[in-house]
Amino acid sequence: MEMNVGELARRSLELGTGAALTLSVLGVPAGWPFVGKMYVHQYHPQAFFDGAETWLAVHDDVVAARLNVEALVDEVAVTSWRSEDDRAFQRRMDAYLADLRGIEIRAVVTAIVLYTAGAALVAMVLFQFLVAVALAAVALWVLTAAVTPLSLAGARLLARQCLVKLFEGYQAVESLLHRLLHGCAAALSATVVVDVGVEAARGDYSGLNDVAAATFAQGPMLVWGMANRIERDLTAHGLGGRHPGSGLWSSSRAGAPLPNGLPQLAGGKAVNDIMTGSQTITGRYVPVQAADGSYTFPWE
Amino acid sequence: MGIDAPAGPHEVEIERSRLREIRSRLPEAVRPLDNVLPSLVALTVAESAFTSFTYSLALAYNEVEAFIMTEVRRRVEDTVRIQDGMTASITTWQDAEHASSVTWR
Repeated sequence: MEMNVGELARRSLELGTGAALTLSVLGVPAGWPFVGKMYVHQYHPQAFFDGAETWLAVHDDVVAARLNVEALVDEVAVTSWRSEDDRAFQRRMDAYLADLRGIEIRAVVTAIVLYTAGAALVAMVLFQFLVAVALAAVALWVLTAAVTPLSLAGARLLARQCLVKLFEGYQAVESLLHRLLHGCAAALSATVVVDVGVEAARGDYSGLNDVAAATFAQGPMLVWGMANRIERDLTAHGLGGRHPGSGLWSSSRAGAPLPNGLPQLAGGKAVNDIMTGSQTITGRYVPVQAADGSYTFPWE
Repeated sequence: MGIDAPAGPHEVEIERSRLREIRSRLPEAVRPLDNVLPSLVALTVAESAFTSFTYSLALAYNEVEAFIMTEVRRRVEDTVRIQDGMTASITTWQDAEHASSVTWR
């Protein structure tokens, strides 16, 4: 099913781009903002579903290890190893088993969050497909008006109003998705922070060190993610054909048309992104993850 | 005869060898943990999450993934340390037995 979702997102973008192109030729440029949005919302939810499955398997592996160790500890308890060493051993094993349980809980939460996020992305892709179909219908209608005795001016006006309403709807859905994914992110962060916070309050800073180590280990991925995000945003803004009015890239010239040629350049680049399935510039530099989970920079 | 009071040197020897045997089974017991790191490294969630428009999800996921990998690695190291601890105390126990039997005679 997954392959089809990424595919559907791509098809929607193609359909939407065709419709927006037709509309702008017919004097209704209001279709372009959709293309920029659709370009941003190209997802591969399968990675999330695969991830959810893997995290559940991780949970099972950790449970298996914990049950094995618990059985061993019980066997030790019936030996006559009665001493300070024995008590130290029991304390140590209790802490060890508690840590394994912590990993189990986090693995399940992560699996649930990934599944939820994946489902939300699928919903977004389906929604975009509907929007693309609506765009195509509007384009077809204006085209019909252009080649028949119907009033083209009236058709343009109606189409513009229709697209503005549709875009409002799109933005509402987008902000819903944003909030949902943000909630997912909060849930994930909580699984790390809450526990580490409790431990640190008790004076055990080893968890805190692990968080720091984890953050450093993923450095290259953060750098790449940032670069990828910038490339994607700029491309989307180029496709929109106007200076962005909000967000990181807003400027005093918000809403003013971009210099001639830039939107076309962005369009060509976007086409290449879609054809190759990754960002033209940053796409080929995805950091490689080492077997221990850390990342290396592409030039290392 | 309760477990508290081993009857003689022979039974103590049995308990020691049992402890040794338990220790030797510890690596096998935590073997499932070895699957965790490779399966997480094989995932492409990190890349996919960064290309989605909600940046916070990508950040949070990467943090969790890296954190749990560190945790799992640490638990595997712990197992080795626990084993070493058991070895040391079995040896101490044995030495104490020998020492006490010498003084007792």
